[in-house]
Amino acid sequence: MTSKDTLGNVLAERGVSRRTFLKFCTALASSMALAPSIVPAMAEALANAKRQSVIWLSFQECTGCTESLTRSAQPSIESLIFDFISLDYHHTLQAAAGHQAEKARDIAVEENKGKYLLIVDGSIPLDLDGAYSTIAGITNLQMLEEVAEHALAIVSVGTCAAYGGLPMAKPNPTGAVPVSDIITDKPIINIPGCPPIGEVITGVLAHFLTFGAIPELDSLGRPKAFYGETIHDRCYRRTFYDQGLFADTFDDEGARKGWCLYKLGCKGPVTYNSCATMKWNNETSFPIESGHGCIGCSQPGFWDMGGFYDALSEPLTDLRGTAATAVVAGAAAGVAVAAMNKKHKQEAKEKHFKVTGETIENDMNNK
Amino acid sequence: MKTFHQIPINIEGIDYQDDSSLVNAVIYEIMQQMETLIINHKSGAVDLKSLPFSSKSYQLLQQRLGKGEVAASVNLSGETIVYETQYSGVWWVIHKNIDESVIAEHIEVTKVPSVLCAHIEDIKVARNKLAEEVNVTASA
Repeated sequence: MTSKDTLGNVLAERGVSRRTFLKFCTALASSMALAPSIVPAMAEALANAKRQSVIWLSFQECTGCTESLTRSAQPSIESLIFDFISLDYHHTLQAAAGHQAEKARDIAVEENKGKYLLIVDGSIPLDLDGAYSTIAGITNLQMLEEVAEHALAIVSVGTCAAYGGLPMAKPNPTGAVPVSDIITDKPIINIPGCPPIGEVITGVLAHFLTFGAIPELDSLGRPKAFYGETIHDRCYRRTFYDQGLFADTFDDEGARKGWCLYKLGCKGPVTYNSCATMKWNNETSFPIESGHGCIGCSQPGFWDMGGFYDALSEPLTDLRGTAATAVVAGAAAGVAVAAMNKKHKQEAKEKHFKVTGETIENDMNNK
Repeated sequence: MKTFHQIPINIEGIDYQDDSSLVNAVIYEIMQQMETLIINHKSGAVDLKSLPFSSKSYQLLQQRLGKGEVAASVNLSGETIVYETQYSGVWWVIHKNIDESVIAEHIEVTKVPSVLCAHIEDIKVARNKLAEEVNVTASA
């Protein structure tokens, strides 16, 4: 690769103007919560960067993470990111199959030793010597260890790769573990979510290309730019929480008026992600905007955190910037929810009864 | 249907108590950046997407800044709308994607927003293209 192969030159050859490039960098900086003043430097660094080799391994997963990334890549400004990387192996997206596909992986590792970025989605099963999931005759564990050995850094995409995710949910029948339980000698960036926001994946890749380093991470290995605040912190319904206005059911007055979903089990207060600002489906909305509470999918063990519709049992202590009345409202809600959860469960139980063949037959006869 | 805001549903009973305080905070920041531009010739910007604006406070900010002498539309993989507010040097810049969703929105405090400036790399490409055109015309 020569100096003429910089991303700036590659884009110029494709008729992408510097104005367009600047627009791309502006959008990226905004999504990464970087100061707007950094945009010119970011554009300069990206223009002089070279295409990054990427190897993508998929293990115990549902392909939702790949879907999320590719859905973000309509013929739009963000799709420029795909000109920035060389996706050398991705067994779902690549045209090659069988031995040819595996050979492509070997070649990518060999030609880019120590320089490629390894992206992993899915957890890795360890029980039965990893036999629960194999690709091309080797276990996921073997493949991960082989490819990780020469990687520059690893990006664990999705909650399964980052924290074990659904395969690790109790009783964890395959002995699933996250990447970080196996690889301990490489920098790992976790991009959790079920799935993660596509633009977050591209944002992290762009950050890596621009600054040549992994972004600042929180204690759970997540980039602070995207996971620095809770859903609750940035929720447009936060004002109702602060005023002590809650929906008690999904069809009451509070629900219709768009009040806070805290009592209906929203996990926004304990979930760090950027859904509330970046949103989904071309920024159309996010779960809370659709009237459903956050299920906390970017947190470790979210599947085993209790019912999705059980309100958080503790009052929130982190009420930054709220008025004293709001603190009281929040605390009052917290105290009440444990009793409320119990009441809801009891009511649901009472409304449901076991249907047998005999019941149906009796119903039919009575009509 | 492009965005949620186009769905004709009005949520009742919203009482955004902090509407004016958030708008005031942004305006104070703009004033500070104007001061820096005047004294140090250094441009600044406020990223509107990073702020938790309600549609009401967004409208309030638009009203208070108003519209000035210059407006432009730039076609860059989706439209970019630029207009100067009634305050000279304070520009409202909206970057849209091909599907018209807003991907970035800034208030820039500068003489001219960089998205309107021609960049030297593009000028070099244009010069070569023009030279080629001259050669073709001359040899014809």
